[in-house]
Amino acid sequence: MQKLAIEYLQKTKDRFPEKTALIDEGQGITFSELWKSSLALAYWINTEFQITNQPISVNLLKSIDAVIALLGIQLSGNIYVPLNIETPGKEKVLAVLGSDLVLEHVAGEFRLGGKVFANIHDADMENSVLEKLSARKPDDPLYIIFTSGTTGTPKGVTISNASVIDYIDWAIKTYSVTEAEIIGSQAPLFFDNSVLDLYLTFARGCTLHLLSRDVLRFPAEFGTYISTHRINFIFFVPSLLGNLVALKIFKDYDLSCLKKILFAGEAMPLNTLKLLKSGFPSALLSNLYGPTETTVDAIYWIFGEDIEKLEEVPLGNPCANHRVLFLDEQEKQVTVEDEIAEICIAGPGVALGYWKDAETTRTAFIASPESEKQDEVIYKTGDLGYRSSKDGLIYMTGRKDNQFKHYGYRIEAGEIENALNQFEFILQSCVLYDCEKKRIQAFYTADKLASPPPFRNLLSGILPQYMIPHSFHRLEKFPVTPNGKIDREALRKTTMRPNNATR
Amino acid sequence: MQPAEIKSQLQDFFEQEFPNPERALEHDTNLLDEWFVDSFGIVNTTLFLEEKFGIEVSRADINAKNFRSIETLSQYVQLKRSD
Repeated sequence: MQKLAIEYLQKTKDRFPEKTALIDEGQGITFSELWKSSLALAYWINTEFQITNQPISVNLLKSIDAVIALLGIQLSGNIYVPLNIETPGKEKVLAVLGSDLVLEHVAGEFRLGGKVFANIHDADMENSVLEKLSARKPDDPLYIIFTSGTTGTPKGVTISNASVIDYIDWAIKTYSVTEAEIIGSQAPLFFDNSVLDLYLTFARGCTLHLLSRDVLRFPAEFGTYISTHRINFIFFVPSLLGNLVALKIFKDYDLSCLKKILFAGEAMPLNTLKLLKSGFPSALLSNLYGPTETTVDAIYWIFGEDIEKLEEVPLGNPCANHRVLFLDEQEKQVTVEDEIAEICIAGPGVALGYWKDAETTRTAFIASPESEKQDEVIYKTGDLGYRSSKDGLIYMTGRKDNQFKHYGYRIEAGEIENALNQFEFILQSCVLYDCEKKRIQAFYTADKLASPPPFRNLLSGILPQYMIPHSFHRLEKFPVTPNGKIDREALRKTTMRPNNATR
Repeated sequence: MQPAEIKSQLQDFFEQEFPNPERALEHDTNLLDEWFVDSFGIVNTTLFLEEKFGIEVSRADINAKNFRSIETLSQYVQLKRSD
């Protein structure tokens, strides 16, 4: 019985020692080299720091070294926390973690807590590392991934080894993953879609290509890369697939090697799905759904030949070992089909909670309302949806709050509004998302302001780039609801008329 | 269409599609590093070029060289229109 996620790599490195595990910018590393480098890092961490079950942040761009960092930290019996290296706000994350241990890679060397990595030569290294690790249990945390919080305090979603093992074993079966898979990885390490790419590779001995920004940005580079390297498996956010089909990429390049196309992170538009099907008629197309709090995915659907007939894109059915419950405002279970209620998830993928934040954890992770399962914790996603009486599948209709997804990034409108409200000239602000055009729009009322301030510059030190609004609109006053709050729906109606499209 | 007109139409497009109120968009502003917010912008720009200037943008031409600035895009449009 597998206890820890690292055991995937431990077995695979014996099965395929000389096979290439990862490729980044033309550089490769084999499974045996990957194991050795990770062991050396773990041994050094154990020797220098003597810590167990502590979060260690990883502040590296996605690279072979970053993957070694994630592996080395888990091998040392600690918890890895991938950070977004390009964005501000890391101090907030470290404050929540209560640890300023940040692993970096500067001038060709790993650095942690002011110390520089040194390869310690010790014949007993592997035994020493594995012996310390043997005390670790399946329910111990493997990683923490941070998500946006309404108040501006990020939430550290804490995921156990057991959750990842359950998810990966399910994915291997569901998508018949073997060592023949050549995976093209899009998701950054701080976005949990990358968990699938990485752990399928470790578990099955696939080869994982870390796709560069330019490969993802320029269709020609993408087409050339995919066909040259015979990539056959991708797990992308729908927006990127939308770009590829909008430019009819499959007409100019032979992408017939792509056999498994998975997507998650935001809603897949029906039109994009149909174009994808016509471009890749023989590929497996699968939609997945799951907040970070449920270990990457909890609901999935594999499309059949009937895509042309679809009127809406379903989320599908729960992954094995998982259940989906619908709860109303009073947290009572809704069992009537077609009735819209909050999507809640039960199963081994449900996170351990938010790191060191018992209060927020209690509001989102609650006891199951099912009569015989009250000791089971379920996660309230905040997403609204229903189970259809037509096909029995689960569909999503929207959000309970003002969260939205932009290129797979989960963003709370409130976090951007809070950042805007810090400026003294702002009286009130409201952020809306235009799904059609993929634009974040900020509206504000201001005091004593002659000309628009340099919002982007002001915000760039406070918010990550993907959260910075595309446009800023000054209003005389906001529409308000009877109880005096900003009427977001009225604002949406007056500002996003379909006829004000720019094209 | 004169180069100046192409550039001015491109400028209007970028200022409208990707508003960036605090800085002036110059013809040599680096669009990829300083103006495009995401890869979606590249798709929108491609569709705009095809529609507005009646050219067909080959997928291989969507690259960092052509999409660097209004200047380079305008040169590309002129080249395609003279084909």
